[in-house]
Amino acid sequence: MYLKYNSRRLEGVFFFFFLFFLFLIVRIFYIQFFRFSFLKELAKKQHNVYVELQPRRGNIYDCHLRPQVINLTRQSLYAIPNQIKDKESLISKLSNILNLDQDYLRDRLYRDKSFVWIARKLSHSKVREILSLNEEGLGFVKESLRAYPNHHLASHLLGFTDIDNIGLEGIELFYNDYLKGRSGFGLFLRDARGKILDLWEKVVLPQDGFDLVLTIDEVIQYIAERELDKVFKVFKAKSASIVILNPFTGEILAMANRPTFDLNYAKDSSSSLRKNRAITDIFEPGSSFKIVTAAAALETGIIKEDQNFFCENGSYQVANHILHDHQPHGWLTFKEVIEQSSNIGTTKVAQILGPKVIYHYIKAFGFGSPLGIDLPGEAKGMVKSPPLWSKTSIGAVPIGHEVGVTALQLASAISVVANGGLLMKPFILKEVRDKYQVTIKQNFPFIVRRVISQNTALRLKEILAGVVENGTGKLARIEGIRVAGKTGTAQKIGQDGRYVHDRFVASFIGFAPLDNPRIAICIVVDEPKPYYFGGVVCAPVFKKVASEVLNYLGVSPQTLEDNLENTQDLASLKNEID
Amino acid sequence: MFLKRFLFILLFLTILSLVYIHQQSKIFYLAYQNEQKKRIFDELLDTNNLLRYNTSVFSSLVYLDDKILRNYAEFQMPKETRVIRIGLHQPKAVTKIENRTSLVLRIFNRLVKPAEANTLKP
Repeated sequence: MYLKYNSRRLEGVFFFFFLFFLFLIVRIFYIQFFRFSFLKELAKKQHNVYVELQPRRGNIYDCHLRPQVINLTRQSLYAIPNQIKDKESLISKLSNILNLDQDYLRDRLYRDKSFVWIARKLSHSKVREILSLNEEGLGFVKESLRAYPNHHLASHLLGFTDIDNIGLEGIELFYNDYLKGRSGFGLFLRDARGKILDLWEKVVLPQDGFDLVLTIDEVIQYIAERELDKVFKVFKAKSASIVILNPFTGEILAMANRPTFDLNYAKDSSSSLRKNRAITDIFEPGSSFKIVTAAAALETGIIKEDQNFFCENGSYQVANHILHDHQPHGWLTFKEVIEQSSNIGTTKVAQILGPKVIYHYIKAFGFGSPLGIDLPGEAKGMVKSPPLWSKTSIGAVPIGHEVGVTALQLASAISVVANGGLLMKPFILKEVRDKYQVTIKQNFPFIVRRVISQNTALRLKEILAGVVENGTGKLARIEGIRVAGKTGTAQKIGQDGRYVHDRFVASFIGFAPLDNPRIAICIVVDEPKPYYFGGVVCAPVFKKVASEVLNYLGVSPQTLEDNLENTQDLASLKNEID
Repeated sequence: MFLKRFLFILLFLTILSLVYIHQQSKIFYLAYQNEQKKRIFDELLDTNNLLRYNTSVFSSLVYLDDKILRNYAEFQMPKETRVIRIGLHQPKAVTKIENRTSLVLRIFNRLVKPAEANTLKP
């Protein structure tokens, strides 16, 4: 009886355990085969963390690889609002350290979110101060900050980025695709405390942005900006621009504007300070534009340098408008007309050529259409076609009125004369390099078109040298180096659409040395006071900039003399051989 | 026989599991070490970047100009004729004269006591 009873109990226990283990086996079977993928994903989520890997944004260098824009690492402060115990105390502490409004911090810290930004890209001293608070619920994330070691130098060219390092202006915007790189990602393993380990299940490495090498030269840019700054302040101008080109290649060696801004504090500056006026602002150039009329006259062969023109003693009627010269002239040769910048003489030349020829050369010199520089916001200028000309236009367009040009267009136009008649496409990007400094793209000089023949260019060079030696541009003369140039002074148009007598745009375009030009320069000063003549305001800037830049480039009167001697030696040697 | 084989397999599996666990813990240990070294490396890299930036700032023409202009002097590119180049090595002739002078001095120093500045009594 007892055994029978025990046997039943044993069977019962056995049956219970059998059922229990059966249940476990079924459960394991179910988990292993039916819940496998779901649980595996769940485990992965717990062990792995998805991390976006940020690429390094490319640096920007000048033509001698001097850094213009580099990346610095900065810490950005975030908060996890739920983990903060005493929010009000933290708000007052952070407000003092970060100089932030308490209401702003309150708005952030009382949000029902697991992550909120407090302040980004903080300085090291502020990070140290915040770390010393030892508060729970605060954390830092490393971010990359664009830093500009030269502050305001070439600010309009380089441009800047937003807080997320996306280009907003200048080169930073135009070549954003090259600079930004491509972000990667990784599934990293994390430990029980949530700490991310350098063990990954899957990783796609980020592709760093490419470095850009520009055509600008930091030293030339500095010289240009220093002199521009002086003229801007001395003449209390509204704005000023300077463009320096290599006339044979179209490379921009320097480009600057005033007013300007510090790139490291770009967000604090107004949009008017950030304008790259050398390419965005159009203005009536005045007499600087006479190089187009002169080139047309010489190229067509209708006018000769020694042809005489009567300049009507300073007053000449064109339709219902009376044209004046800044000082009365009688008979002048064509060369003297340009040297003395006679409006009447130039108009008479234009009347012989006719509007169609003038318009053809205006367009050929690149006015009225964008030159295609690799910078954002280039204006195309304003040029009227002959059917739209009024009866007075023949007395206005050839002397630089009723047309709108940019400083860059004027610099390109004078480069045409300097390089022997070719319109070159201006460019600012020289090379694109990867992080191993391997060149992956290179920009080469691009000839847009031949504008005038080499012979015409040579003849025009001599005339423009006369402008500096005998004419209105005497203040641009450099001792020991022959230079060519043209001054320009244009009245501005008032609100009523008429020319006003108290506001002018002064300009000077020129190149040096005359025989083998290394630089072409355009200087434009808007509303200088009290003097407003291009020959007084801008020509001295040309002299100063050109002499220093040529000195920097190794062109001095001595080297020119040496070259001349070498040429003469070669010529005599050639004669002896012959 | 069966029990023996069973125990052997059990032992083998246990050792295999322990080796696997040891390997995993080693991987994690190395990962932690790597993490620490990476942090140090990143810090050094950041410092290096910052120093490079500071060097660029302090050597930039804008900064130098700003410093010099404060003393009302204008910074200009010096002309080639105004630049005096200083070589790394001194000319041989100068070194010879120096040696000769030092030899003469040495002889005099042995003969005569060199002049010394004595402190006056207060």
